[in-house]
Amino acid sequence: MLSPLFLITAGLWYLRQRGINKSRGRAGTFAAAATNGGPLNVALLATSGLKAPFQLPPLAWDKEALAPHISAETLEYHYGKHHLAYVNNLNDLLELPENAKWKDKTLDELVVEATGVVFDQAAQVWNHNFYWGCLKPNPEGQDNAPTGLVKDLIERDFGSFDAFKDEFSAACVGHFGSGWVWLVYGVDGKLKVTQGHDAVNPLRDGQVPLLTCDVWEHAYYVDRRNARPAYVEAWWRIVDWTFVNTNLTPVVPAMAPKEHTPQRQPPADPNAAPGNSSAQEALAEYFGKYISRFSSPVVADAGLPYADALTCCSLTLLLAIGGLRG
Amino acid sequence: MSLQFPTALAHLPWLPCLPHQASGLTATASGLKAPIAHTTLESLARPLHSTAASLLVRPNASPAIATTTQYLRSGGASTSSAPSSSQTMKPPQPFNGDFSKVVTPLPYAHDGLAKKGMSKEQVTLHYEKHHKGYATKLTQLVAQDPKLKGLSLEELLMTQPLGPVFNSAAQIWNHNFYWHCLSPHGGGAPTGPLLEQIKAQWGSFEKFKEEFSAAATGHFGSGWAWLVKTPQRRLAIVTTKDAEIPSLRGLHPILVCDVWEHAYYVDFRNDRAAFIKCFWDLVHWDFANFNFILG
Repeated sequence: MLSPLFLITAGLWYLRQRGINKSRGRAGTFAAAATNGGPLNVALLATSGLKAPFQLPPLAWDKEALAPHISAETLEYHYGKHHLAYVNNLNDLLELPENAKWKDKTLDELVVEATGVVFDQAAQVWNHNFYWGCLKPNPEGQDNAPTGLVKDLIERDFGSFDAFKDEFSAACVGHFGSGWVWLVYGVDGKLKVTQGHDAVNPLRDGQVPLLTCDVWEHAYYVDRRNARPAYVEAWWRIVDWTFVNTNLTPVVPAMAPKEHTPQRQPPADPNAAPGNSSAQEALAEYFGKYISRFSSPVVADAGLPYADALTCCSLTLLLAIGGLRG
Repeated sequence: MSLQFPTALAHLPWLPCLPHQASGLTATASGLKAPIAHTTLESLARPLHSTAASLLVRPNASPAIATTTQYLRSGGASTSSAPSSSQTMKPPQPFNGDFSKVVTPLPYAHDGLAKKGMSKEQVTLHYEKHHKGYATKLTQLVAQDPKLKGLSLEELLMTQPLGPVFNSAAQIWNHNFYWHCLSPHGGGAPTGPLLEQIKAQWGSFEKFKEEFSAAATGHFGSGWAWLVKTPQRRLAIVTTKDAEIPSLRGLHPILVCDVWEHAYYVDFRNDRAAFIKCFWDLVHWDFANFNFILG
């Protein structure tokens, strides 16, 4: 185990990982939280870990892809104007001398710690990053039921998916003014539906966001004018349950294998999207889209954190074994 | 009643006095259902288009004072006696709970503002769906709650805490005020005492316009941008969140601009600054002057 080859490799790996973390602006190992010790949100690894100047994350699909549920025109305004404005405003605000203390913070840290106008803009950047992740194309308008771990947890905590859907939809339709409705993994380990007015984000309460629906009027006014219930109905059809599962997996890793044994899974649903049968598969599938969805120069250089860990550990072990045998 | 202060409080050098604390309005709230108080408040609950003055919830005219005035006017008659023949007020009628009746008729045609940038579709949607929608919702909510039976719009606004009932009632009131702030013949600059006061406080109308536009454009989320008169008889620009009304904080509204996204999304999409420019072409300065003088 103490062969020089092993020591050199381990040392190189450690230095490389420190370099990656530094370039990402995060302390600690890649497995540590991007926030102040809270749970890791895989979906926002790239954007959360970054600091100013922030960028608009690329969408994983074309602007026409969410039709007929959300039109290309809505996306042009919602993503191309509103979201971009929040990003630009945040970058501009962080240049001001009175906001110097927020300048070196990551997006997650801004959402959890900042106040006032800086919080408003930062949280809206975060919320919209997350919102786009929650959506996937469904041009045929097929039924879109949850799969995997989140399905089990919804049934455990709400009784049934329909009960959860009713509660979530009622919250969306009933929310007065601008805001967001969230499905979160609470501090007590239970899923719950929460509402955040304007830009309020559940990270501040230590809850893990799993799914969100934007109920600011700009999210639906182009397509449906004042008919928010119709927007929410259409939104259910484009929810990306894979994304929801990947948000869930890091906080319940111990739960995932036990509660998701193959014997307890229902027979494969022919209508289910491929690769959605377990949380672990969901994670692997998500990483397939990881780079394209959230790619940025920093992330592209740094590569995939889990793959790094796996590769480096495997390599180290192999070398260690080689060292032992040799 | 836990009210939230307007966000643009920096414009005001002092904290406004909550009428509920000051005038004992809460104490008289229970007297709102007494016959004489009902008569007085019924005059406030007249259809809001009849005079601009009746649109305003004047904090210095609390029901307690109005009740006393009415009592003296009726020759000191006791509350339980029938109205005397000299009394011209009708017998008290409890409000019938149909809030579609308190939605102001639009002062112009739906396409009346189209020439100046607010399209017929925008006005129709805003008035018929949003404004009347609040009235429908409030009618339903009040029908479900026996404690709210017979209360007028102003009574609800003065007694209900923040919540679905207050929100709907306040939005009806705000929109009533808003439609009168716009006019097909509006725009240009104010005249008379209002212009003098604006010049005295901001130096010029342009400077005031810049500051009002900045406040309205910069307001985060849904809300309203108001020009108000303070109890010290000075003008102030305040923004309120969602459905809040500055009159409930002792501030007298002169002018309002709706900055909920539904007010401008049809015509201007995300460009709130362009909508505010269009608003300046529509401002009904006569109405603003009237509110300024009467307040």
